[in-house]
Amino acid sequence: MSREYRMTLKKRESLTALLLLLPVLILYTIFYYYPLILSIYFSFTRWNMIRPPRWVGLRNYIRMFNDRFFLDAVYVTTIYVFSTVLINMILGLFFALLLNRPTKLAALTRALIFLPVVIPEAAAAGTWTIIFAPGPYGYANYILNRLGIPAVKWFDDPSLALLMIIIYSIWKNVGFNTLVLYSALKAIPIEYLESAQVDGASDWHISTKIIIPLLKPIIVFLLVTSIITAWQIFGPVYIITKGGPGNATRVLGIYLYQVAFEEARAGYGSAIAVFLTAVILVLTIIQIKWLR
Amino acid sequence: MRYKWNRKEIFAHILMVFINLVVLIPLYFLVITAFKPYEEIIRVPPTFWPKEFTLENFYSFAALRGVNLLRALANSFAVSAMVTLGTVFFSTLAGYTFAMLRFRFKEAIFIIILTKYMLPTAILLIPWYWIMRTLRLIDTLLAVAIVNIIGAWTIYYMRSYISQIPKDYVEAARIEGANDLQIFTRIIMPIVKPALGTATIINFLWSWNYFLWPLIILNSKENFTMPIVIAFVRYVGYGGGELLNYGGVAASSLVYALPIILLYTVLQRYIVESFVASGIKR
Repeated sequence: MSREYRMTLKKRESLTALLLLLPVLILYTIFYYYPLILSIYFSFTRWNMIRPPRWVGLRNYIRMFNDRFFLDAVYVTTIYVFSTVLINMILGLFFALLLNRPTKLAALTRALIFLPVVIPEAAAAGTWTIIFAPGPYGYANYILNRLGIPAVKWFDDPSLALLMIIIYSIWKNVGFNTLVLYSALKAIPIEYLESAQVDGASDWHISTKIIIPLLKPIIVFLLVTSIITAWQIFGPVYIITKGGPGNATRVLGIYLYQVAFEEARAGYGSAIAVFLTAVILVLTIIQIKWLR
Repeated sequence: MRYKWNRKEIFAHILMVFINLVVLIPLYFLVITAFKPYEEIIRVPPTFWPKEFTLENFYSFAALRGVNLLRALANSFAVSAMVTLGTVFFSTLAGYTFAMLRFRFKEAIFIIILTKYMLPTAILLIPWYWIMRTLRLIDTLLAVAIVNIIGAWTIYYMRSYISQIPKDYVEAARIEGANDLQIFTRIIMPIVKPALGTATIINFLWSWNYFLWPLIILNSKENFTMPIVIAFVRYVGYGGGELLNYGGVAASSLVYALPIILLYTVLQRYIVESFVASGIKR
């Protein structure tokens, strides 16, 4: 093969590559890189989406940290993220160990516990909206009633409203952790566990001293990815409480939507979006470092 | 080892029954509420089987304000079809390119594409809205779909899958005079079929969930997708306040979830494996 021929081959290959990547590159440029840069630019402007944006420097960011509603939103989001991620992880681990049994019922439970994960968020949120109907006619209130607790106005009490979102979130997501951990569990060589059993180790000992350390990488991965997804929650909150009562369940996603699209303060909204992204970027970097 | 039933195992299985009930009872409430007339929904104590079956929840709110459940379902299908087909098609081409071809800046381009996967949609929404206004695409299903035809995960997944194909296969075909199109359709495609299935399912399930972006970009009721209808229908019909349109919420949630529930009953193992392999739920 002559040198020139090889050159043309190489050129042809690059050309083919460019051609095949072209649709993806075009879509990425228009709907990803360009918006990313625009968003950062908008965050330094005052802009109502009608008149051209006006440069205001760091004013949006300074305002953000003096904005009580923003700080409240960060607070609510943090509570939501920590409680759901923690509960989902503990329950997920427990369920994975529980369902790691060779019976038919265990197999059926593994299939059913994953059903809420695939059910669309809005439908799941709609389901819980109905269950938490505030009058004595609501299903949740009826069950509480039978247990001797008077009907509760779920949507009027700040802590109950957040509790609803947390209950929804556990029902919806715990199956994911369960099955990811279960499939990791099945990869552990059975000899490990049998030899421990022969040595007379208790179930608790086997779980905490052998299984959980072996699952640590996947647990860390699940923790970080669920924090990242939980931090962005919007849809279910919008459907169940719309952020209310007051600002009790107004998570960052809801606040961003209200600021940018209901009040048309797109500059300030962009600053909030940049903040939200920065947090996720930090978490992603931690994840990459931690998993190494 | 034979399975031994002792007190602990029996307790474990009682717990499993309990878990199944917690999963299923909310869905049962959803189904019965969808078929109850309004008077029965607000009856105390609630009924656990509709005394009187009605289909009014599936259309009455609709007739009232111009929302049509079938139309919304079709809109959702249209968006998911555009996103899934577009993403899988373009991502397979890109995956093949990254896995099989040599060109400059390959790694750099690949990594830049992957960053999309880490960043939240939140940071793109305002510019997207602005771009759509410039393109005069506000209030269209195309606008909902097109921004999502950039599946970083799908590109990553297809690249990994195609990388497993021995390069010798491709080289041998090339020496025998096959061009890239022939290599792609005759050699690559048959091998990646299972991966295409996984990518299609995952992308369909993801796109079926889109909520925030359509909420922003869609204005007219005839363009609403299912989740927007669910969010909207709640405040329609019974004067607001505490007495919301629970029947409408139930009926629309049921219609929205049913295709996915059916899909899951048929492809349960496959879907779980795809999700677990993808490592992500959203």
